[in-house]
Amino acid sequence: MKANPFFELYVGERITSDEFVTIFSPSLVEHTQALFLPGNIVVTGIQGCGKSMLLSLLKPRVRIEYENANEYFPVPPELRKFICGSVNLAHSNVIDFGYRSSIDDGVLQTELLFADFLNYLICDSILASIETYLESSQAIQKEIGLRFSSHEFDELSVKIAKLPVWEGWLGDCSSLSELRARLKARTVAYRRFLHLKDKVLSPEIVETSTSIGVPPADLARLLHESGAVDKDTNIFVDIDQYEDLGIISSRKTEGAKVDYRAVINKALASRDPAISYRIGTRGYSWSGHGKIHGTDGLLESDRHYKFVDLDKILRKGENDSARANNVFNKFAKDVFDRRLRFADFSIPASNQESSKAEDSALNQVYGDQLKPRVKVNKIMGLRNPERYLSLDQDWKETTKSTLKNLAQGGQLYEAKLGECWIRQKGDKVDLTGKESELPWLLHSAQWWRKERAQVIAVKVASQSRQQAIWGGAEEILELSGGSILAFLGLNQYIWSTWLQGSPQAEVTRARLPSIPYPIQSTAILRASTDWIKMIYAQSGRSAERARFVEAVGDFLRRKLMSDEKLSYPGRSGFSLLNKDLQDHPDILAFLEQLADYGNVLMLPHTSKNRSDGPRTKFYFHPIFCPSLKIPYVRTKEPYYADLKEVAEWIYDAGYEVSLNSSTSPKQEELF
Amino acid sequence: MNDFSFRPWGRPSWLKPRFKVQSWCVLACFGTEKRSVKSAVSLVEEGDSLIMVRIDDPLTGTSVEEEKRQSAYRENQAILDKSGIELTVVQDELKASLDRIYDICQQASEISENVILDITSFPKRWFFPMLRYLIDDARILNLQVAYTRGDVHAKSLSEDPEMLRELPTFVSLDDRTNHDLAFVGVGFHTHSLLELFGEDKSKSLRLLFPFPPGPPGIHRNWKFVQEVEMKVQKDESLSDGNEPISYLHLDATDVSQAFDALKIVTENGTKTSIMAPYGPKSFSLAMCLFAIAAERAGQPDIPMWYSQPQKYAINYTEDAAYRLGQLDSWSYGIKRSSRFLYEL
Repeated sequence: MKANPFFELYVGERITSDEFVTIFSPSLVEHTQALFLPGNIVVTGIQGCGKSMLLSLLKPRVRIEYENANEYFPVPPELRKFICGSVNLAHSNVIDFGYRSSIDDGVLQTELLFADFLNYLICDSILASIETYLESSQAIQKEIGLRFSSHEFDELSVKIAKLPVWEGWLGDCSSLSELRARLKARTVAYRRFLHLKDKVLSPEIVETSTSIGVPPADLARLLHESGAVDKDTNIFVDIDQYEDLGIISSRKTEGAKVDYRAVINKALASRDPAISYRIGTRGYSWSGHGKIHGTDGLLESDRHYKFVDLDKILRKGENDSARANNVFNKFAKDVFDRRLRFADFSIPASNQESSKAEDSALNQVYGDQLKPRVKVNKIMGLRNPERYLSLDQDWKETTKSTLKNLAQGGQLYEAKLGECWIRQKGDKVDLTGKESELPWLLHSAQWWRKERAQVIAVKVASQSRQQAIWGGAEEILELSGGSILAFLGLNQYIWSTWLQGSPQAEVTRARLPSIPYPIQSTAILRASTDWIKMIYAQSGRSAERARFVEAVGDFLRRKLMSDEKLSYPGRSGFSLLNKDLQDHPDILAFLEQLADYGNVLMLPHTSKNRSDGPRTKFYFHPIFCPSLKIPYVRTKEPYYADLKEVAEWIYDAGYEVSLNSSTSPKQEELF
Repeated sequence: MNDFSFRPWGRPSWLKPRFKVQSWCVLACFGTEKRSVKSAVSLVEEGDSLIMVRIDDPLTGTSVEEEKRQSAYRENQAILDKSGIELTVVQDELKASLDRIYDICQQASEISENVILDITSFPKRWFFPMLRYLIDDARILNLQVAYTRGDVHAKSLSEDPEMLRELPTFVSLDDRTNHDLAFVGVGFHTHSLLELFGEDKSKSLRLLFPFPPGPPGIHRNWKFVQEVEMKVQKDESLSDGNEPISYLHLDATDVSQAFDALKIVTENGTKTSIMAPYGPKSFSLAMCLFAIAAERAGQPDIPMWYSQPQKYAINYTEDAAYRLGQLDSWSYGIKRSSRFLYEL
C-alpha cells in the first residue's frame, strides 16, 4: 500500500518508467510549444511553477520512459525531432572559478576559461544524449532523425576530434567513447585546478581555450552535414541554474567582476542556427541582466531569444479568471488525478473527460467551493454567535435586535455584514421588514458583499479567537497561486494529516475519500506556516524576505482588523508608485526578488488616483495568507504605501536599503 | 582485531600531554561568539603560538546590526588582550580563495610541526580544506582538532544560504550523479539541502542523528528530520531492499565512532556516496576525515554538498559551555608522528 500520494519522489531512481509517466503531467505542453521549435528560448516563472518539469521533456531518458511505458509522449509528433544536451551550472562546478585567487588577477581570462569549460560540458552532454538514443528503439531514433549507428558514430568521432575549433587538443579519437573520455579529461582538469588539486591549469588548455558557443555549434553542424542526424533535427542545449548566478556573493575585489551570465548571454546573442539554447529562470532575475560579454549591447527579446512566460500562462489575472481556469486549474487537477492513480486510487475515466468542476477527483475529495458564509455559519460552530457582534449603543433597538436575531438564527455571517453596512452607511433604514429585504442582502449589494466576504470570515475567526477555516477544491486551487509546488505542498499536508488521524484511511482505495473540512483547514494552516518558514531556506536574501513577509503581513492584518466599517477590504496588499520604485533601485530589487521567489505577487495596479501616475501592487503569495491571517482575494484597492514606509519595513527585516534616488542597486553578485 | 585503529580523543588537558611534544601552533577562528576566543586561549600553553583568523561574512545587515558585530569583536579582542598571549591575527573573507586558505595553513606549519586546528568557530568552507592541507603537509608531524561546545544557541544560526554547491576541494572529479548512499548530518536548518535529492540520485539516505540529542537541540533536530521525511517518500511498495531513509544514532562527541559508522556502511569506502555536512561539527569532522581517507585509499571521491550561509548570527552561541568549571572542549588526535590516524 502506498502512503501519501503527494510525497516528493526524490530518493533514487526507484520508480519505474510506467510510474514516471503516470505522475508526469503534460498539461502545459500545449501552451509552451515554442520550447520544441528552433531558436533560443527563455522559460521564466516563479519558483515552483513547473519550469523544471517542463524542461525535463527535453531529456532523452524521459522520452524513452514514455515508450517503455507504452504511453503517448506528450510533445506533438511534428515537434519531436530534437536532441538536447543539458548542463547544470552548479553541479558541473563550472562556476567554481571563485575558489582560486587567479580570478582576482584577470577577469577577462577567467571569463574565457569559464566559456571553454562550459563549451566542453555542453559538447559532452550532447554526445551523452546521442549515446542514450543509440540504445533506444528504432522508432525513437527515426522520430528524432538519428541516422548513424554506433559504429558510424565511432567513425564520425574521428572527424569531430579533428574539428579546427579544438586546435588539436583532443588528439586522435577512434570511437565515441574515446571522444567523450577526452572531453571529460578537459572538464576534470578544470575541476582539479578550481579545487586546487592542481596549482596551475595546464598551459595547453589555456592556449587552446574556445569561444563561448563555438564548439557546440561546430559539433551540431558536423552532425547535420555528415548525415548523422537529419538536417531538420534540432540540437538544443538546456542550461540549468542560470538564475542562481546573480545571487551568489563574491569576494570584495577591486575593479570589474567576472560576469558568468554575460558569457552565457553571448552564446544566445550569436543566434547560430545550428544550435538553440533553453534557459529556465525567474522573471526579474532574467530581465535585470542582459549584458553580452565583450560588447556594450544587451540581449533583446524576440531578436536573440523568445520568452515562454509561465507566470503569464498560469497566473490568474484580474480580468481573466476564465483563462486561468483553463490552464493552472486544469494542470493542477491533472497532477492530482495522476498522483492518486499512482497511489492506486481508482479514478473513474469519466472524471478525466468531464469538464464539470464538480466531477473532478479534486472536488470529490475536498468538496466544492467552501464559501465564507458556510465557514462562519456552519463550520466554525460558534456558541452564542451574537457575542461576536459589535453593536453601537446609539443604534436603533430594532437594528440591534435584527442583527442579534440573525446571528442567533445561525446567520452570524449575514449579521456581521449588516454590522459593517450600518457602520459604513449609517443606521438610517428601518430593518424590521423581511430578511431578504435587508439592504446588504439585496441583489444590488452583491459586489459589496463579495468584496468583503473573505475578510468577514477572517475577522470572525480573529474575534472568536479561533483559526479561520480554509478548505474546498476551489480554495485549494486559489491558495496555490499558480504554483504547482504550492499545490502539491497543500495536498501533501492535507493527506498527511488525514492519514495520521484516520484509522480507516488505508482500508480502501476503490473509491475516493472525502476529507472533512476541519482536517483540510488544520492542514492548510500548517502548510501555510511551514511555507513561510521555508522562505528562510531559499537562496538570495531569504531571511530578510521571510521577516518582511511576516512583519508586513502582521501590519496589514492589523489594518484590516481595525477597519470596523470594512471600507478597505482590499488592504491585504500594498501599492507603490512606479516612479518611486524606478528612482529607488535598491527597494525595487528587493521587491523583485520577493516576486521572483514567489513570496509576493507583483502586479500592475490600475489606481483610482490616476493622476499620480502608474503604480504596482504587491500581494503575498496566497499560500502564506492563512498563516498571516489575511484574505488571499485581491479585490478593491490595496493599501497605498509610501516609499519611506516600505524602506522602513525592509530595514526592520534586516536589510538597509538606500533612500537616495537612482543609486545603482547594491552589487551582491557572482560566485 | 587486525582492523583496530586507536584514534585518541578526549579533553584537551588529557590528550595534549600524551603527544609528548614541546610546543604547538594553535590555528583558530576569531569570531563574534565568545567561545571562539575562549576556546583558543584555553588551548595555548607556554611555548605555544596562536594564529587567529578573522572571517568576514559576504552579506551585511543593518548598520545597527553591524555595530553589534563590531562590538562583539571588541569584547573578544579584550579577552585575547587579557590573556597576554602573543598572537598573529589574519583577516579575510568567508569566500577567500583556496590559495589564501592554503597559505594560512602553511604559515602554521612554518611555525611548528605540531598543529592544533580549533574548529569551534571556523565555517565549513574554511576548516574542510584546512584540515586537508594540514593532513597533507608532510612538515606537520602531529595534528589535533579541537572543538568547544557552546551554551545557548541563537534561534537562527545563519541566514541567506546560497544554492547547494560542493565544498571547496571536496568534489566529484568525474561529476558523478549516481551514488549508492547519501549521508546527511541532522542539524538545525535544512537550508537548500533538499535540492540535493533533485540532481543527485542515491539509492538510500542515511541520517546521522546525534544521540542522545538532549536539549536544546532535540526539538530542532526532529523538525529537521520531519522536513526531510516530508520530502522523501517512505513507501514500502517501492522498496528494492533498501530502506529509503534510515538513521545512524551516533554520539555527538565521538568523531571516531561516526567515522567507523561511515566506514561500515560504505563497506570501507567502496560504495559510492555523497555527503551533506549539516548537524553537529563532530559529524562534519568525521565526514571530512572520511572523504580524505577515501581519496587516500583510492576509493571513489565523496562530494560534500553544502548551502553556504552568507551571514552568521552574531550570537551564534551566547558563551562557551562549561563542565565542572572547565570549558566543555574536546580534542581529537588526527596525526601522530606523521601517521594519519583515520586511514581506511
